[in-house]
Amino acid sequence: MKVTDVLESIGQRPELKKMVCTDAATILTQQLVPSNLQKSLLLNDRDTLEKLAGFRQDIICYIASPEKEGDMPKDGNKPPEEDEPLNEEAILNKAS
Amino acid sequence: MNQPLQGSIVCLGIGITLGSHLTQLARNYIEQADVVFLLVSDGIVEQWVCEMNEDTRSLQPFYQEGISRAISYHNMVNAILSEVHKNKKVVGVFYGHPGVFACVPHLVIQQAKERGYYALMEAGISAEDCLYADLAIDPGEFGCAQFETSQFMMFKRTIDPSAYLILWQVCIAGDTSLTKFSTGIEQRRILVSLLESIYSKDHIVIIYEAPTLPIHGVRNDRIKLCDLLTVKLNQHSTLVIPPSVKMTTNREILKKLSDLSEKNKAIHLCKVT
Repeated sequence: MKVTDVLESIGQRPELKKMVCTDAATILTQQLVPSNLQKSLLLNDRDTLEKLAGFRQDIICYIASPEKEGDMPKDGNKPPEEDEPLNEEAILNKAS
Repeated sequence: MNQPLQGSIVCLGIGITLGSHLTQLARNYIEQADVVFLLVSDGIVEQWVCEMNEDTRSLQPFYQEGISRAISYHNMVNAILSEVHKNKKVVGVFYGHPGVFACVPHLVIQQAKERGYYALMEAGISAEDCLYADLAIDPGEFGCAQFETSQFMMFKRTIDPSAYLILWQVCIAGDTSLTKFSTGIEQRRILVSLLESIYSKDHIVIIYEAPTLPIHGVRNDRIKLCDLLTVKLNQHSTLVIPPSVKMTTNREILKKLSDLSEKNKAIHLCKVT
């Protein structure tokens, strides 16, 4: 019996979501889960579970990194334009 | 006339908890694929998916401490697309939701579409979805803003303390290099200092972790903000900051809405009479 099959079964059974430890042992025994696997499941012994599942590599999971300054979503909206630089000569001419 | 390209890519999410969140549709995609690429958050979950399709390839080796994650993501995209170019039916399997805080699925789909391939994203149950259920938070009640923690630190943000604030990936807060798997107390001190400019140091915050295995419990540790400095954080720890102030009524807008309502009533009465 594979560890992943047992875990998948546990993940899909509502009664196992709220069970107390003794109930868990009974249900796992009814499912013919081997005693060593039962023990690891009940103790949440992650190292042993990974070994029994045949997986021992450390998993890395990181989400998307910060984007660059000035990035905007490509959603059709234009970012606000910067103010036009002051044209002092034009302002002076207008004033006079 | 051009023949349609045979290669395709579907990026899907398998949720967070093994066995509990995988949809039948997602399982069918995995089982029927020519090649499956896989990026999940738990070794046993990885093993579980590998058992659904003989040609399942983990994207884990692309992550290496000291190498920028931007390069890792770029290489993941290329690895997936190279199989699409070989006219294979490719499936990308990601933990949670493939489009939430995950650039690789978005990039793969965008580039595949640009090259004329069939490309699709299928939603999955995200860590955010689990958080709302496990912590009994409705993001619509007071509003909710969320950021990747380093991005929150590096860019100026206008934070509304009357809404929830969720900071993801808090264990690598302040990693400017994108190469680290954890950051130290000094970076965390800067984060706490930034948060204390918005909230009091005694404000109660939550450290949340969703269970990846169905035998795991939820982490729901409520601590003072100042204790964030010393609390143990894992790579999948999330910081949830509840509102610290009451929402303030926008009387100006309410007045405008009230005037509008009165105006509409008057128009209606005119029409009736």
